[in-house]
Amino acid sequence: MQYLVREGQEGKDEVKLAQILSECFDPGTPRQVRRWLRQAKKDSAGWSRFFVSEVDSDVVSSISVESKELHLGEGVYVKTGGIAGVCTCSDYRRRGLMTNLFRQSFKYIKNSGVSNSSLYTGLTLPAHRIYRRFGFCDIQTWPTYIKILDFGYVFRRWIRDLNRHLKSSKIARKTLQEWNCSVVFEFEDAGTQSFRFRNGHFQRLAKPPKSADLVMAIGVETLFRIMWGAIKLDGAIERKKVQVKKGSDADLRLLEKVLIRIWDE
Amino acid sequence: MQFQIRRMEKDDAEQLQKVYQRFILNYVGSAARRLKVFQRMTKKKDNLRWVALDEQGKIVGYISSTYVKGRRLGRISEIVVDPDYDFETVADPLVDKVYDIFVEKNVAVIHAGSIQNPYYRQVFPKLGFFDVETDGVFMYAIIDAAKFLEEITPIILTRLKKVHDWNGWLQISCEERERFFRKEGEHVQSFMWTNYDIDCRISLNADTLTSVLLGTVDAQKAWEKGMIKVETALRNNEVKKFLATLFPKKQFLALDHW
Repeated sequence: MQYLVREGQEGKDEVKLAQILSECFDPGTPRQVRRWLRQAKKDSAGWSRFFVSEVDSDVVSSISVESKELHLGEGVYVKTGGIAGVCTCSDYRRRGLMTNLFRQSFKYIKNSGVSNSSLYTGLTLPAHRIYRRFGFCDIQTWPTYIKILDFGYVFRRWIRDLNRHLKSSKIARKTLQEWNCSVVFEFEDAGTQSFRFRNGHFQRLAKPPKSADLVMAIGVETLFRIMWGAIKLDGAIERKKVQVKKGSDADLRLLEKVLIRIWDE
Repeated sequence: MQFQIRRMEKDDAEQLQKVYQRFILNYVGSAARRLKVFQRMTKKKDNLRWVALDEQGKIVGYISSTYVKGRRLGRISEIVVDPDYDFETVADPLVDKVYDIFVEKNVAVIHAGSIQNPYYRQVFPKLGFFDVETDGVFMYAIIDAAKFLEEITPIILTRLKKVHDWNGWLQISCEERERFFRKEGEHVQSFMWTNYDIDCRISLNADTLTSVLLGTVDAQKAWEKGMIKVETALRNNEVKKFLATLFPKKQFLALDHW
């Protein structure tokens, strides 16, 4: 595969960028991408850049570099090249595109006289391995505090978000293309919620089906911990935080992917 | 002490920046913010940004939050308190205020996150929040060790001054790059190179250097584990003391994501 790496161009790349960013993160529009790039440029006094790789005149991956200054102690702030928006279209992953984009970004950071780089990512994301290879070390994970006031709404919204995510994620559609499954969550503290996935679409069910494919007893907090990557579904089952009353291993594996939205193997 | 709570106003930007700057001095990892960031914060016309005032009417803390109507999601973005005041005492009424507004707005879920404000565990669990250790991680890489050593030189100089019972030449090496420091009483200086005899040579790789600077690894433990090599005539307990002064345990805190 032949490809090229170039500096991204405002006013030209936003549409394609929005598509690939939507596949990797939350769905976004070209307008939002434009606003984000402009804000980054403003905040870093014109220093920020984004780089893209192109296959057959099509943007397939991108990375953005922003200028930040971090406090390292005793009132001393050190400039850092903040890496953001790292994404590759799922059709082009594992082909070294991101490695080359990273090299380009590091060259830009170093040539600008910046000694270091920093970024936020997820420990369970495949990209974490790439970052380690480039010399990044884990500094800090963190907790988020959550209070749920209307779990019924949160569950409905989650189903809607999954359908939106499916629209923009080829890899998610591909992973779930053969899946046909009804899932019932029996929450200790929030009643029963259920959904069905059929024909590439999630549907919340007002009533749990009589013969669901997957039935599990789980707490709301445990569900959130799995969704946010704090614990794995397997681990939660082992520790009896989740009780699987009915369901195959294959369905459980796909449900975990749906919960954490990481589709790469 | 009683604090008055009021909405953030346009003219608060400068005071907010000062409170923020004082607050983050106690931590490492926080980003510098220009006045514009606070001007943007105070421009918003919703009622989700509040300040706490002391008896003289000076801002001693603030809360900034957002509401995503379409998702019925309330998000407490940051709570910043002047370090001269007790965090919990100032934060509690601010959080209560925003919480009540969220309830009025009929939110379905509230998120409160920062990386890694130690006081949040005193503020949020008592309001019924549960904590989820996310898989999110902040990562840091040194690209140019020589330049990085040069940039952290003012930090090392300040800390070296605090080493009381030691004088001499110190060499810090990272990824085959080095920086030299000379201490004579209160007088400390840094040099690019020297062939003077070195009294204390500290070698560590880039990962360890960032980890001890950003407070996620204890320098003394790193030395015991061999992650930091120290060549010196100092005795073991003196080395420990020396390292504890050069790389004191710091709390990492980040309020900005990118």
